[in-house]
Amino acid sequence: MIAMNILVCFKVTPDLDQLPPDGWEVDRAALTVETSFVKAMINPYDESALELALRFAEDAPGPVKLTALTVGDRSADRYLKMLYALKFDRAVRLETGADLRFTPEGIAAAIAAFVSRNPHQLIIMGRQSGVGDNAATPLLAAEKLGWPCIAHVTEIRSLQEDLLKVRAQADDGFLSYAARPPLVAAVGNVPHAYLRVPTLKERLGVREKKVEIVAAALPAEEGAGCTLTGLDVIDRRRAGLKIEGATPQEKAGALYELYLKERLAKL
Amino acid sequence: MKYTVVLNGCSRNIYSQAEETASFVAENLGSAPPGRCILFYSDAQNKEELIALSPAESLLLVKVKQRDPEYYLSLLTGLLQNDTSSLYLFPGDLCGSELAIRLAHRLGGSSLAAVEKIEEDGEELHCYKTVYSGYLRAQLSLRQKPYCLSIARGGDTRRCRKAVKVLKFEELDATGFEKGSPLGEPEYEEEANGGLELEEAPFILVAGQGVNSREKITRLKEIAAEMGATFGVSRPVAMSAWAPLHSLIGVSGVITRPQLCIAVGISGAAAFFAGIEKSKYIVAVNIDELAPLVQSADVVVIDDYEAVLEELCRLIKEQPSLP
Ligand SMILES: Cc1cc2nc3c(=O)[nH]c(=O)nc-3n(C[C@H](O)[C@H](O)[C@H](O)COP(=O)(O)OP(=O)(O)OC[C@H]3O[C@@H](n4cnc5c(N)ncnc54)[C@H](O)[C@@H]3O)c2cc1C
Repeated sequence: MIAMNILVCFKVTPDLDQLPPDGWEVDRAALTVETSFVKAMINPYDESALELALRFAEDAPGPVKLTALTVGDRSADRYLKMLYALKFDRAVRLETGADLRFTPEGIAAAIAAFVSRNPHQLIIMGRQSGVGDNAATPLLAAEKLGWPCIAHVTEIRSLQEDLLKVRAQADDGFLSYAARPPLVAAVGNVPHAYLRVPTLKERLGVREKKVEIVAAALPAEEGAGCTLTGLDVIDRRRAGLKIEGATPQEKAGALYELYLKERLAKL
Repeated sequence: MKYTVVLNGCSRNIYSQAEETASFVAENLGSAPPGRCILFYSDAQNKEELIALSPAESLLLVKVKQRDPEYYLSLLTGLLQNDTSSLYLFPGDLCGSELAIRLAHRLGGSSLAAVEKIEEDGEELHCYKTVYSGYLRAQLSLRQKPYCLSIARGGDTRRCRKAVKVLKFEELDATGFEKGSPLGEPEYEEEANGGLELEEAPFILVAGQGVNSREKITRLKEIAAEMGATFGVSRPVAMSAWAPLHSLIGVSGVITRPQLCIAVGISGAAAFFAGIEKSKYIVAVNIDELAPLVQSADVVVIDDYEAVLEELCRLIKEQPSLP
C-alpha cells in the first residue's frame, strides 16, 4: 500500500498575551513592534493541526508519512526537533529572511512550491495565527495548488484508504464531508486538541536528527498582496472602578446595589 | 466604486450578515453609486423575507442546492467572470471570510479578512483592521482590483441600518449547476442555537480559565440561568470541552453586544475582548489586580469569583422583577 503523505504547516509566534497592556511600542517608521523578548509558542490553531495529524496517522488503515513544515527563522528549530520526537518523518523549515507578517500570498506560494517538489496528498494547517491575523494562508495555498479546501475543520478521519471524513464548523452548525485527497484542511477550534508532549526517551531518540533547512525566496506578489501602511495600539481602557469591601459578599452587595440593580431593571 | 455584496441566505445567521454589511455600506460606501447584492438561498427559506434583507437596491437571488463554501465559490467564479465590480463585500462570518479570500484569487484581485473600515485613495484601497491578535490596528493598502473583503464582525449594526428598497430584482435557479464542488455535498448538522442566542443576548455571564473545572463551569452555567443571563466562555474553557463550541466568545467565536456583561476568571486577552468589546457595561471579577481585563472593564471586583457570584446570584434572585 502506498503511504499517504501528509504535510502539516505550522508557525511559531510570540505569545502576545504576555505583553502587558502598556508594553506595546510601535516603531512608526518601520511599522514594527518589539516582541522578541516575549515567550514563543506554536500558534494554537497549528498546535491543533499537528495533534489532529498525529491522531490521524495513528488511526489510519494504511501507512502515513508526516511532514512538518514551517516558513520562518531559526526560532522554530526546537519545535521541529520536538516534532521528530513525536514521530514526524520529516521536519522542514523554509528559510526566507523576509518579513512574514502580512504576506499570506507569499507564504502560501512557498508552501505550494514545496508541495509541487515534494508530493503530498493532504495538507493540514491552522486557520489563522496572531500577528498578521490574515486568516488566509491555508485558503490561498489551496487556491495556488488548485486543490479543494475545507475550512474550520474540527475532525479528520480515514474512512477507507483514499476516503476521508472531515467535519467542519459552519456559521450555524457543522458540515460533514466524505472527501478524497488532495485536500487542504484548515483547522478551526477543536476541543481536546492540545499537542502531546514527547517523553524524554523520545526526545533523546531523535537527538541526532537534523531539521531540513531549505532556502526559499518568497515569490513576488504580483500586486495581489497588501502593504502595511500604518500600525497603532488600540486603547481599550474603561473606568476600571474597584469595588471595595471586606468580604466577597460585601463586594457583591456593593456591586449589586451601586452598579447593577438599576441596569438589570432596565433590561 | 462599483460594489457587490454576497450573502449566504441558507445560514440562520442571515440577519446579522445583512445588518453587518448594510451598516458597513452605509458607513463606507455612502457616496458610491447604488450597489448590488447576490444572495444564495434554498427551498427552505422565505424569499420575501430575504428580499427585505438586501443591503443594496439591485438584488440577484440565486437558488442553490448545496450550502458549502466550495460550492458557492464555484458558482461565484462562473457568475462573476464578466462582472465589473471593483469591490466584493462579504460578511465576517466563517463562510464569508473564506469566500472573500478565495474569490479574490480566482478573479485575479486582492483580499483582506475582517476589515473594519475602508478609504479609497486613487489607485489604492486603504483598509483598517485589527492585527497582532487584536492588540493593534493596522492600515493595509490593496492595489489590485477587484478587492474582495470580509467585514469585521460586531460593527455597530443598529445605528446605521438604512431601509433599502430593492428596485431591481433578478432570480437565478442554480440547482442544476453540476460542476459545483469538487468535494461533493456535505451533510449539514444544525446546532441547537449555534451561538445566535449569545449574539443577541442583552445580559451575558462569561467564564474563563480561572473557573478551573467542568463542575465549576456547570455551576456557573446554572447561576447564569438563575440570574437571567446567557452563558459564554473563553477559548481555553471551550477547548477543554467544558462548554459547547458555540458558547465561545471572541475573535474565533461569537461577537456579543449586550447591555451588561459579567466576566469572571478571564484575563482579558485582546482576542477574547473583541467578543465583549461592544458591551454597554462590563463587570470583571478576577483575583489578579493586574489582569488586563481589570483596566478594560467599567467596574471590577478583585476577589475569588465563586463567593462573589453565589452572593450576586442570590441578590438578583431576591428581586421581585427578574430581568
Ligand atoms: C489566533 C488566536 C485567536 C484566539 N481567539 C480567541 C477567542 O476567540 N476567544 C478567547 O477567549 N481566546 C482566544 N484566543 C486565546 C487568547 O489569546 C487567550 O489565551 C485566552 O482568551 C485566555 O483565556 P482566559 O482569560 O480564560 O484564561 P487565562 O488567560 O488563563 O486567565 C484566567 C484568569 O482567571 C483569573 N483567576 C484565576 N482564578 C480565579 C478565581 N478563583 N477567581 C477569579 N479569577 C480568577 C486569573 O487571574 C486570570 O486573569 C485566541 C488566541 C489566538 C492566538
